[in-house]
Amino acid sequence: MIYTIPTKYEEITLVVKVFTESPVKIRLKVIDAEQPNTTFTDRFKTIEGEAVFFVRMPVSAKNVLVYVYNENNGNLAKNLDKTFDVLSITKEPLEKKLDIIDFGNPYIKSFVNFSTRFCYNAGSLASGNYTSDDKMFVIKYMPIIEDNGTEQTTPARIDIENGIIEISKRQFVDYSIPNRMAILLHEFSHVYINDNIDDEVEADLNGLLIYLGLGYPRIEAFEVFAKTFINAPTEQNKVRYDKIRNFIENFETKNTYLYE
Amino acid sequence: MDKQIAYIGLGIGLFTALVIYNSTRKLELVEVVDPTQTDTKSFDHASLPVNLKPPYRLADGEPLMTARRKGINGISFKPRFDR
Repeated sequence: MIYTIPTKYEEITLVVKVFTESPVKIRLKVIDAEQPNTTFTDRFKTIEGEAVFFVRMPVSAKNVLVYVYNENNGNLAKNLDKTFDVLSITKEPLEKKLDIIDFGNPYIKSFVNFSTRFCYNAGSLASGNYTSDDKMFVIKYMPIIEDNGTEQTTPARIDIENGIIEISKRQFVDYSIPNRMAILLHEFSHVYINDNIDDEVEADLNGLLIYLGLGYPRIEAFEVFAKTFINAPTEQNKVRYDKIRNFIENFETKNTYLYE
Repeated sequence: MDKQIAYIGLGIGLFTALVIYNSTRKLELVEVVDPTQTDTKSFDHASLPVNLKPPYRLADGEPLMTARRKGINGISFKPRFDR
C-alpha cells in the first residue's frame, strides 16, 4: 500500500507504526512524490506484533510516498493484503548533533550545502560538471567511471591533486539520498579533513561524523558500505566495516574517533 | 504578583503542550490507489526551495576551479570509495 504524506521540505523523523499477527517481512520505502529516482529510505524488518520504523529525514520533499508492504506478497492495496496493518504515521522533530560538526571550517560548511543539493537532485540531473556556489568544489557527474576503457566498480572517487570528485551516474541514480551523502562525505574527508590523505578508515569515520551529526539514518550508512564492500571483499574492507559498525553503534554515547 | 506568575506558567504550559501535540500528531492516512498519482514526469527543479535547488552546472569547456587543500607534488592518485 502507498500513502501520501505532506512533508513540506521540512527536516523531520517519519514514524511508521506497523502491526502483524505473525512474523512478516515488511518492506518500507519512502520516495519523493514528484522528483524521479529520489529515495529517502528503502529498508525491511521482520515484524511480529507491533513495531516502529523511524525514518530520519534531514531533507524531505514537498510530498512523499510511503510504501509499506509484505515483501512476500508484493505491494498490494490495503484491502487486498490482510497480513499486516499500518497503525499510524506521524511526523516528529529530527534529532541532530550539529555541535559535533565543525561548521567554523569553511570547507565543511560549503561542502555540506553543495553535497545536500547535489544528492537530493542527483536522480534527475544530467551528466556534467557541477560546482558549489563559492566554486570551491567540483563534481564530475559522469555516465560511468572508467579507466583505460574499463568501467570501474566504485561509485565515486576523488582526485587528491585538485579535489575534484568523480561520480558514476549509473550507480548513483539507484542510491538513496542518505547513501549518496555518506559516499560524498567520505570522498570529501580524504582531501579536506583527513590528516593522512589516503587513509580509508580515517575518511570513513570523518565522513560518518558529519553524516550522523546532520541526522541521517544509521541503517542507510551501514547499507551503502555493505553494498560497496560486497563488490570488493578485501581484508582491508572487512576491517573498515568492523570499525564503521563500531563507530555507528557508539555514536550516541561517545561521539569520538575510534581509529588509531 | 503571584497571579502574574501563575498566568505566565499557564501560558508556557499551554504553549509546550501545543508544540508537543503538533509535532507528534498522527497524520490522516491517504492511500494512493491510482498509480498515475505516483507519476513524476512533470517535476520541475524551479519549484524547489533555495536550499534544495540543484548546484550550478558548468557549461561544456568551462574551466574547473577548485580550492585544493593539499597535494603531493608530481603524484596523482584517486582514492576510491570501494577500496
